[in-house]
Amino acid sequence: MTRRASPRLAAYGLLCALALVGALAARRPELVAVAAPFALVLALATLVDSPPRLSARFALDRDRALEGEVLDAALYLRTADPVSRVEAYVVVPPAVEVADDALPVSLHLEPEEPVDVPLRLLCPQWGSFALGDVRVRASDALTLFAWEQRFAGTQRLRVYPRPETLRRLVPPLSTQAAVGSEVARVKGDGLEFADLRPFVPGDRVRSVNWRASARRAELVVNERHPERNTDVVVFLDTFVDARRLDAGILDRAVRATSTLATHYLERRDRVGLVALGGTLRWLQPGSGLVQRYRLVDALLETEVVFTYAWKDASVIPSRTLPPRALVVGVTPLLDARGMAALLDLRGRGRDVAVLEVSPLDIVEPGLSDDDKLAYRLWRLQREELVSRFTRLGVAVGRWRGDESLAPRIEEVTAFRRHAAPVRR
Amino acid sequence: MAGWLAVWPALLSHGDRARLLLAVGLAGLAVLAVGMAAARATAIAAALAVLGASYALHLILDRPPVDTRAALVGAGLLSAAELAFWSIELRREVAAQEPGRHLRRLTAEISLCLGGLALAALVLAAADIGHGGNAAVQVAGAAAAIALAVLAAVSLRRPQT
Repeated sequence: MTRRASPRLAAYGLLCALALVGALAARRPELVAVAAPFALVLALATLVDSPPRLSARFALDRDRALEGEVLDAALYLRTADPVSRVEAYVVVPPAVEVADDALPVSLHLEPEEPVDVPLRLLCPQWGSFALGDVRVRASDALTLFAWEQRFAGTQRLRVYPRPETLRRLVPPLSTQAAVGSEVARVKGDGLEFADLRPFVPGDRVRSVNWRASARRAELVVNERHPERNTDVVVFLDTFVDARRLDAGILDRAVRATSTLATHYLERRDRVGLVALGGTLRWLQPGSGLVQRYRLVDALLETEVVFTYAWKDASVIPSRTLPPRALVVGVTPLLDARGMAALLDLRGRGRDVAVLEVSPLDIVEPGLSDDDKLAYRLWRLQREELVSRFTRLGVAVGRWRGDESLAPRIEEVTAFRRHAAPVRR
Repeated sequence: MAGWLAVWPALLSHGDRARLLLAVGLAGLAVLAVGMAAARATAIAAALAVLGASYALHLILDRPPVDTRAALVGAGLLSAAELAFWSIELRREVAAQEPGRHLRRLTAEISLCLGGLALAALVLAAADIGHGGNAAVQVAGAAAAIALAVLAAVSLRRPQT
């Protein structure tokens, strides 16, 4: 523990010294009497000059939460010696808030009376946070000394982005072989009607379309589209971030990625992740709840690492991009490298769709005429970039973070429905 | 309390000396007010030294016999000092969440001031016994000064970890 003396001890020592020197110089014992009460305080200080045996611990009710949730936590304070006053504070990151201004706390502690302070933490922002450091200051009844100590904690809190509700997702052009929720283009066993064909030996009787058979005077069976799963890889552009106050492009992009991944996984699709930026992070496509946790845990570690190095699609391991997978690019279209990687994937014949996380509400034009002109040129440049994608048959949904994602997904779906890509 | 300490030596004196003592006392009071407003411990210590100097000047200039009220002056200075420093601490400390904390502190302060008063009275009684230049008393006084210096050094040693 670190001991800190009250500044008045030094002041009293000085006053005592001055009074005693004055008493000796002036030969007046009254000045010794004036110094005596201050000397008493100094004597008392030696009696209380021993550190209390304290312990403090911070514990979370659970280590995972969704954005906007309230978590229960507790601060446990114990002492082996009576402490007149204990001030305790738990170090929390700026993205986590303590409800009701409950911290710091100031208490009187007795050895037989441990104190548990209930706390509530608000988690308005997704991320992975280290918690648990407790700072404690103990003092005596006259606050002659203060004893400070830090109790290190190792709690890890993961706050996941809260996914938005989407009624429809971007359908991939191709499906995979396993059972899923996407109606496949091929014909097989399923619920959606596909076609009629003549009966051949081996067809099931329940597949016979009796009404059509009666009209044709021969047995005709229904063909159906099976429901299959798809492979989706979400491509997250992490080269650049733009922020203003609490709003950031990367935060929105991660939230959109989490929303898309969650909904695709709920459809029993396989979802993978590629985060290309200063560092390359990837997750091979998988399905189920385990994959969902892997994805969101990987997203929590997402950050912008500045780099001048040129990176394109060639650095992405091929096993993270299965054949016939839909690649959904989530990008602010601010860095040429992210755009080049997506255009490269499209050029290689991949099925690509882009969700633009627009920075227009964050970036404002300057005040001078030159700044305003530059802003207009920048916006024109962004329009040209989008047109490069659309000329290649890549749908671009332009999403501002303060609006719902669902209409942009519908835009992308509508574009893909009407602009049938040429298969090579 | 500080106001009483500022004007009382002037009340015990007269003429130009009284005006000088009043000026010193009021100066100490002003420094104390500034120190409390700015929450500066150094200014409060200086103010107390000036208030004490006002009383010391009265003893030197007016040369009264042994003033048994010096114990009150010492206790008064201590209580003014404790209250001033406490007001600074209240501005900086965490709001108390347990009942009775301020009452406990007040009780401790009152006990301290009464203890200081008693000790000061004891010192005056001993001074009365040794009045007349007894060498043994002078040696005891010097030893007490040395003990006090050691006590202050022990109390004010560097922050321990």
